[in-house]
Amino acid sequence: MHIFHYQLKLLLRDRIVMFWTFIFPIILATFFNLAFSKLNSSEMFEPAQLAIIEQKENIEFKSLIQELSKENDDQLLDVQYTSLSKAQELLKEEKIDGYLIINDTFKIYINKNGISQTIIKNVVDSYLQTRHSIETIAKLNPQKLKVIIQNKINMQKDYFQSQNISSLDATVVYFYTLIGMACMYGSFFGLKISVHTEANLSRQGTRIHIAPTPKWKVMLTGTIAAFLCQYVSIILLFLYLVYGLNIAFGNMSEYILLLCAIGTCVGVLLGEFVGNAFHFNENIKTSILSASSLFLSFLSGMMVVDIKYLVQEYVPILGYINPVSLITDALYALYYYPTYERFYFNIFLLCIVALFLLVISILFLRRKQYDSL
Amino acid sequence: MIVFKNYFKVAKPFLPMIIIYTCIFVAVAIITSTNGIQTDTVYQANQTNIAFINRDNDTKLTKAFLHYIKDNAHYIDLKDDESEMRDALFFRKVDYIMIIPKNFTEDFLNQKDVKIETMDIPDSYTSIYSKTLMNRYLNTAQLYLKSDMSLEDIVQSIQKDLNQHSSIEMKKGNVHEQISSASSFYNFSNFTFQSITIVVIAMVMLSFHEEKVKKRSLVSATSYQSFNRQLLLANIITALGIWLLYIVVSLILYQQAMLTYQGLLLILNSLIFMIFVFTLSFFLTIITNRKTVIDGISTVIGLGTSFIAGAFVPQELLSDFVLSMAKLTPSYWYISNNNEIAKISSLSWETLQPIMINMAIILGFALFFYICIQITSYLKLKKN
Repeated sequence: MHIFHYQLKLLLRDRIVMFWTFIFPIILATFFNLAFSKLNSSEMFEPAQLAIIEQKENIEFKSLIQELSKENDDQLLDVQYTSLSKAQELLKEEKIDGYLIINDTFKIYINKNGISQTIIKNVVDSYLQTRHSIETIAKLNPQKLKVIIQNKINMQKDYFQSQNISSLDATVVYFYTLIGMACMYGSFFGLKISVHTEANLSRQGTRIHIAPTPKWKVMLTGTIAAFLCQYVSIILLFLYLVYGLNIAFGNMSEYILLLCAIGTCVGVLLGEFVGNAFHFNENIKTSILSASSLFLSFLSGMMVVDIKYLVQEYVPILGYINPVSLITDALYALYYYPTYERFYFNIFLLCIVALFLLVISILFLRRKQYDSL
Repeated sequence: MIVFKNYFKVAKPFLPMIIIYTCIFVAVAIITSTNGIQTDTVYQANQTNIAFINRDNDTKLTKAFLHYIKDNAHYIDLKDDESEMRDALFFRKVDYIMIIPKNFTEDFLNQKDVKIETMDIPDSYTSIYSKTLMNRYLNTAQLYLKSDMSLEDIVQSIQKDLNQHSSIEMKKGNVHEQISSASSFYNFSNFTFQSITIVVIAMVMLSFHEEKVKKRSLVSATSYQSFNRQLLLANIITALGIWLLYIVVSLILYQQAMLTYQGLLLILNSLIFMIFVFTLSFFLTIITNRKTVIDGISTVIGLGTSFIAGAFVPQELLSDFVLSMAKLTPSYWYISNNNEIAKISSLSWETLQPIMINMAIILGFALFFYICIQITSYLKLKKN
């Protein structure tokens, strides 16, 4: 028990590691939140601003415009009737998206491409096309046309029914990768443990090696201590994300806690693996760990969210062995999927990664002896 | 020049880091600039990504409908698989997924009330726009159907109708196409300039500040003044070297845009920003002498300012609160200046004035840190 106590103390005394594991993810989360707070609302629909210059009256078109600029959920246009010079000025100041001159023909003026401009063009096109359709019918079958006009056929009928999928906020993925990355930062603790235990890496290690305590005991207590430290930091981060920043996680905290626990294990084991398997000095190992956790996070979509999808689409195997991606995907599955299959699949793969790292670490660690220290 | 030479000996191990950072940076710059804001000179429709899942048989109607989709939107080929559809929607690979039900053609032709199920992002413009576009086809078809035409004629007539287009004209000054990509490249450099320069300069300087090294150099034949002068020179050359590396990369990537006056303004702007980064790095070496602290500070400053000042996410997508916070950092002025430069269409005093003011603000920050350096080093000397 007192080995555990000392292991814990050793870990907590290292302020630099404490900064990277406890504080840094929280700072990063804050930045993410600041940067993405308005991102999703930018996707929301806003009616296109259009100025109309009516050089010749066109009643049918006017009524169509009126229909489309009714204030409701599907409002496509926001229209004002002005003079040409006024419209030109408005366009220059970017108060409107474009203006339309109605004469015998229709002519649209815009100053950049965008969704609003496309909508304006489409509204006018659709008017022209419908007019052409009616003309065609008039040519082929004038009797029917009368019937159609009398029955006031509805050209605005909606043939679609949306499944109303909720939870489509893609920015949550950034925060999920952050949790994944924070789990990997557990490797700093894991590395510390292996450095403290290995006789050729630190003074503590040398002393421990001379002492009669079996190595597995030292390693086990160390691993537990590292796990505890990291788990606490992850939970703090999680609480901060949920209560501080209001990030949506779906309402399944117990699943998330389980996931974080396994993720933390993988992180700690990764650190021990790097600590045991390579023969560099501690600084280089730390750099390897921070660079690799950053790279794994990158592959999971931390910098560009599309990367996660691209990896999944083209090199799925990369997603299956990358612990950050597994953690991200598990959280994503909890948030977005109604079933748990995908979540458990990720957990399963994560366990395999953990087991693999554990076995290799043990293989490296066992039977190591020193003739002289 | 022994100190000068020594400086680069110490700095040499940082070369791989600089190269790795630069490579990642260039890769990201290329990715982001391909889907950046485009400044076209002709109208181009903003097409949404539509997937068409057909659970009906392949009929003339569905074929013609699919053809219409391909003409008017980006057609995305998706398998009829729940998780594939969901993922594609979540990551916005597709904006509108239509699932054509069984017997759709038959029911549609018999003028029954049919509904096509869709998966879309609620209330988004892509969803509303796609819906309007798709309904138009079906409504037109229905119109013809009521006039007793055969399916074949209907498909052909619709095709003819849909060839009706209004004319559209772009009113625009001549802004170079590449310039907005180039300016987002420079926006992103906010991150790399700060993280690389701070780490390299601070780390090397700290090696010289080490107690023993410092004492040794004090008793050496080189005078204190000459020692400092050589260090300063080496630092300036390092900073300029990093800066030049990025200028060269931008020249390679955006050859045409960079050789205009706007490109030159971007280069000038980045040089001024580099001066600020330089003074900041120097300031950090004076207030701390622990390498790990520098590591942390440079990451936090680099990432932090990039996030809040609009290097990663464009400024127009940041909330006002964040932006007003960002105004306290020179990164904000640097980045908004880049955006400003990309927008100017003619060279005149009127357009240049705001850009000059922004540059002056960045220089003001540099001056502030310069004064801080003087004060802290004076206080330190006094303490010793």
